[in-house]
Amino acid sequence: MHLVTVGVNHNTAPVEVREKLAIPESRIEEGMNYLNNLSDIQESVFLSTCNRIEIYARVAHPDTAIESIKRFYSEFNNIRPDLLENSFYQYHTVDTIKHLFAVSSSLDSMVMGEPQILGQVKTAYLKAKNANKTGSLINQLFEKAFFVAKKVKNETGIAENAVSISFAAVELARKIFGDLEGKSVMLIGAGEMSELAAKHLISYGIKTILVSNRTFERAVELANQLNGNAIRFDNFTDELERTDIIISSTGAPHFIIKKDVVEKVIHKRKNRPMFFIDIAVPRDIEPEVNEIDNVYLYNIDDLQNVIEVNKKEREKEAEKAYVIIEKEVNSFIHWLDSLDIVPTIRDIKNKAEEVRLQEMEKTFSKWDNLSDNERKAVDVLTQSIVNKIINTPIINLKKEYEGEQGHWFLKVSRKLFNLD
Amino acid sequence: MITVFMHITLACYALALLKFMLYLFFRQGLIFKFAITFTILGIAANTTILFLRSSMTGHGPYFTTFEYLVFFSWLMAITFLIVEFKHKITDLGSFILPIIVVVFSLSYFAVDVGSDMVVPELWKTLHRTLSFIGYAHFAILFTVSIMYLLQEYQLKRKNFGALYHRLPSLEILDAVNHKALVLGFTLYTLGFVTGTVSNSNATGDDLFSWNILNILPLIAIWWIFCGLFVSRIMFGFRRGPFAKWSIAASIAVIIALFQHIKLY
Repeated sequence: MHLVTVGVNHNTAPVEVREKLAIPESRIEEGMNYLNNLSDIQESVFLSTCNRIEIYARVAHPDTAIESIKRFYSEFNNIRPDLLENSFYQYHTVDTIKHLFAVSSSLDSMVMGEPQILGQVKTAYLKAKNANKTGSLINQLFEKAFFVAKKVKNETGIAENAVSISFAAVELARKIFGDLEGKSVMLIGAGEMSELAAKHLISYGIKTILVSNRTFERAVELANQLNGNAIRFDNFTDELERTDIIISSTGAPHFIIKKDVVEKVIHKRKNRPMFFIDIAVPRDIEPEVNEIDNVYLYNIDDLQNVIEVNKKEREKEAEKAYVIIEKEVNSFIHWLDSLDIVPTIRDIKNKAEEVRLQEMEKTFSKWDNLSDNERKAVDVLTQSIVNKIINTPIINLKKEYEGEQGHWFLKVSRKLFNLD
Repeated sequence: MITVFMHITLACYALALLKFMLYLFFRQGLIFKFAITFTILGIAANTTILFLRSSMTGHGPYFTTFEYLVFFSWLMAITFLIVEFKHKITDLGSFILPIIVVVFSLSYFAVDVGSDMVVPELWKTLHRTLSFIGYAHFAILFTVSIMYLLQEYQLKRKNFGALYHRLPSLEILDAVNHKALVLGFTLYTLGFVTGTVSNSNATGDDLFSWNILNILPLIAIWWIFCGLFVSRIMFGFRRGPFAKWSIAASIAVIIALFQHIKLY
């Protein structure tokens, strides 16, 4: 019984290779059937995302199976094998388990800690399961991987800090304002990045959205999209007083918001804080605005810096995550070992012997007038009964273990004899 | 017996502090649970000291510096736990436990004479209880203001240390500060009024015939907090500048108290 992984990811293969290997949704079932018809593959899951294409499989002979899977990649996608050879990585049992746990916990992602990968792994697994391509071992492996991913997410800060400009802006806003419910945002200039940041802010509960742009029509268009109100560019300073977060991204060659204006506004706001996000180059907001009490100004470099800090923080958290994974891999291996046929047969025999000895002891203590010969005869008799009883189940278990449901049989046997 | 419980209390508070510090760095839920458990155990032992002491003297712990310090540690720990459970500022402990440990440790060296005085009248008991609960709130105000300024400094300077991720939002810290000020100021005012009545009862003098040297610092404190209170409620004096003034006011309270109850 072996587990293997063969695949490529963003680190080993450029997008030109990955796109050739990615199987479209419509051909996934065909791919799975093709894969499972290979003689070496007993169970399998096919994972295909934009950054990785991987096959997880339970196989009888790992070396030949790995070659079969590599052949599958090139034959199914009509690619010359030599073009792929340097892109593949392959793992065997312990490393396969470790790799899957790391992938599901988003430690192997391009953006470490990004949340989508877990969903993608789940979808891939369910597809294989529903198509009856998985069995007891792969099922347990993936269920455990989801458990580990959840544990890593809960016990480390791997997914806690933003690593994109728009999320970094939202995170800073939340550090300043706490709950964003009931706060208001103004977009000055209708750029793509400010639109994205506004959408994130809306998803955190911001309801009041104002959009101002030199071309008023564009402001109206974006305001409609975001369910907000458009204001004329000449009037935006009048609205600053009732705005908590300002995202500016105009193409103006000079500062459009100056310190003296903000000083007046903050006074009128009775010191309620304001958060300015200046993603324009050249900058829209005078840098001295940040000197005013309760006013926070971040430009594009500041946000970039936040992301760098957060990435480092995630890397630190990843170390904790690997400790968790290491522990869980060991526990899974331990379980796997217990499922091996040899220790199970040994455990069944031990258990039977234990019961036999206990019962003989009880009997002999009641019949203390038995001679040594008689005792020996009882001993031989009980031994032979016990052996006869457990012999057939053990032979059948050995036979079934070689089949596809082998692990299921082992699991049931351990349960029936109460071995764990 | 009291000495045994003193050691237990100090050990519990110190262990709680250690756990809070570890939690600050390692972010393990279990460490936090230990920290809270040790705080609760510390409060239990601290309560026992107060109980044993009061049953010995026949009155509340309001007479000697020793009693003040033990009582004040107890109130701070309880106020901290209430704030913690209500606002879930999990790192408040790392900031307030050092104060609690220091105040409690001082009680080991504190003057402890004159405790077997007569049972105080109701006004005096009220005065001291209310004032001390007020001071405990000022301790929270002081601590949370420091946390606020640390967080604000990082946000303003864009220089993010490990604490940036640990400390809560400025909004939450300011909201806790608001409550601490409102409650602290109200209790302090009530403590002041009951103190005045108690003083006039004791001396038989007119309600406002104060020992000016003794009372002047307290009046000054009242005015400082009144100023903070009014400007916050009426003129929006909040957040960063408010936190700075709160720290200054809290330090002024300590100086005034030294003069008023002769802590030295």
